[in-house]
Amino acid sequence: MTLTTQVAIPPADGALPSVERDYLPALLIPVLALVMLPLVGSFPTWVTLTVAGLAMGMMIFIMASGLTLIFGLMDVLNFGHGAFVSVGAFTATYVLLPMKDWVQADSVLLNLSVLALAILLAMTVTALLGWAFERIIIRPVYGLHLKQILITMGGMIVAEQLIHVVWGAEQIPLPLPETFRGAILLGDAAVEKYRLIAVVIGLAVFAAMFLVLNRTKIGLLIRAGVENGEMVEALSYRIRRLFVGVFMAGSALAGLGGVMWGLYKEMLTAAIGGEITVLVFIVIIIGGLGSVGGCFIGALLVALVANYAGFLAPKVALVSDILLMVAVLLWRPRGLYPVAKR
Amino acid sequence: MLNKLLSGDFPRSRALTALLLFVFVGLALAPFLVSGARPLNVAATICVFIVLVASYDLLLGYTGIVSFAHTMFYGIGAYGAGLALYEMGPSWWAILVGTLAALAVSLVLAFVIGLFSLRVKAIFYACLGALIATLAGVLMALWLRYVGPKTMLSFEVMTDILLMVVIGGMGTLYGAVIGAAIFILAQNYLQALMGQASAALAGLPLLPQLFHPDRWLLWLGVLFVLSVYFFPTGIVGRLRARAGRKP
Repeated sequence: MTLTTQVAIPPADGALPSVERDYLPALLIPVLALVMLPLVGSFPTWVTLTVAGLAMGMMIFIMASGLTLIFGLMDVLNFGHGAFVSVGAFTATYVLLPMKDWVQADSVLLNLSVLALAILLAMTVTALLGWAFERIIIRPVYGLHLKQILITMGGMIVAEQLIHVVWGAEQIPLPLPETFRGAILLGDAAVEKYRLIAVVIGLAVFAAMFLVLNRTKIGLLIRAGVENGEMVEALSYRIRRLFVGVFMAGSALAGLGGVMWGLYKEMLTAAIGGEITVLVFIVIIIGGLGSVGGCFIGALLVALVANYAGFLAPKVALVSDILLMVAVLLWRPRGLYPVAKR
Repeated sequence: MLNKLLSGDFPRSRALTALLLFVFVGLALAPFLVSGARPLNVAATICVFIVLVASYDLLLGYTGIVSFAHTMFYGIGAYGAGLALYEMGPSWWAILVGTLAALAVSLVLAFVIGLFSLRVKAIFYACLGALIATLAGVLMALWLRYVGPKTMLSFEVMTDILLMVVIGGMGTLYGAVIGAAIFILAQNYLQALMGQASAALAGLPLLPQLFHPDRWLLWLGVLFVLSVYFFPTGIVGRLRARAGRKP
């Protein structure tokens, strides 16, 4: 920025200059869904596919949102993010396996409370683990990208092995609570109940993040830190503390995503987090690294495209994520919602 | 002559020289010294991985570019040789054709990827690394007499290569020899050792699980993290630094 740049100063009594909103990426989702309707052909099938895609997108968003915040604020590429997904899913077994009665009970209330308990425990454990991970693994390598990539990969390997140590090498079946099984019929379209729950939880997480980021002081500091960390520090806020908080929150979100994903798969392996890592990275690149809104839209787009492709052209589904990423990056090279700093 | 062959880049450490000679002699004499399929398989795998890891080191160590697509070239080489042998029958001619075709595909792909993702930065290294990885793939396919996505293209192979490069020492090429030898020996023999340790520790809480033979990767992972922190130049860099301190 040069000194000669002219800044338009708003009149003192006037309203603040309004920020121009960019709705184009958000429009992609309804447009995509509508374009696919004639291609899929049958309306009930289309509803099933769309709801399934939205639900999957919500779960991916929950897992990816923490990573994009961590990258945006701390400039840390955390390849170990998948470890928190795995740990979250495995921690849920501590609640879901012993409390079989509540899981198998034919009561929505009991089922919901057991799910809430599992999520609470998983998020607490992953948040604490995130705190330790930030201290031990990441703190010594702030600002060194190559080392960050190497060391978080190493952390991921160690974490995956430790899961084997703690929970054993066998796969663990994770039972879905009784009333969440099966599907309900909307007209002729069958929609799995668990997917609806995933949509609700995903929307709640997005709304909560949106409110915290845009309506609270913490959120203001986080957004400011993403844009210009040094300035936040210069204004006497301890940005390191913010880092730790965001890292813990991001890890806890990964844990929540892990519980949802594990229940969706109904079978747990230690590699569950590693397998999803690549997808999560694709999503945050599509969304624009550091942008929560972009991450949300990116996750929904990836999941919807994968679902439609799986139905229309199963072979294409294998590479649909990559193709989508290429297409988006050709349109907007820095992602759907580029963050100002980068 | 030797100076020219090594481009003046000697090991610069007595311990390292001894280690390298030990690995070299051990590998060269392996078919005569040991019997049985397993030790021979270990020796052959080390040979192939030295080439593969060295080719990755060209990219990661010398230019600092982190690529997770290196196994692709390895796979192209393996599938090139494999498909040619499958279609044309077992002959030297088939190996030659398969190798040349694989090299051509790798070169074009490496060039295109380099052009798009790296913008001519270090494109020569990228192409060279890809070609050598392709040759390593051909060797592996010939040794295993089998080609499959799990053994050639999986992400685990990629993390293994990364571990070998970093533990051995980035940007040294000698590190590839040391890293591959240690990693593959550990992969095959650490398990037996850990089995004994696990049996000895039986009855104690958690410890037997930590030393369970299947957890060998845990300890290599810890070694990897520690080496990124404390000796980022790996074993080779450490040995060289020690030799450099005492004149």
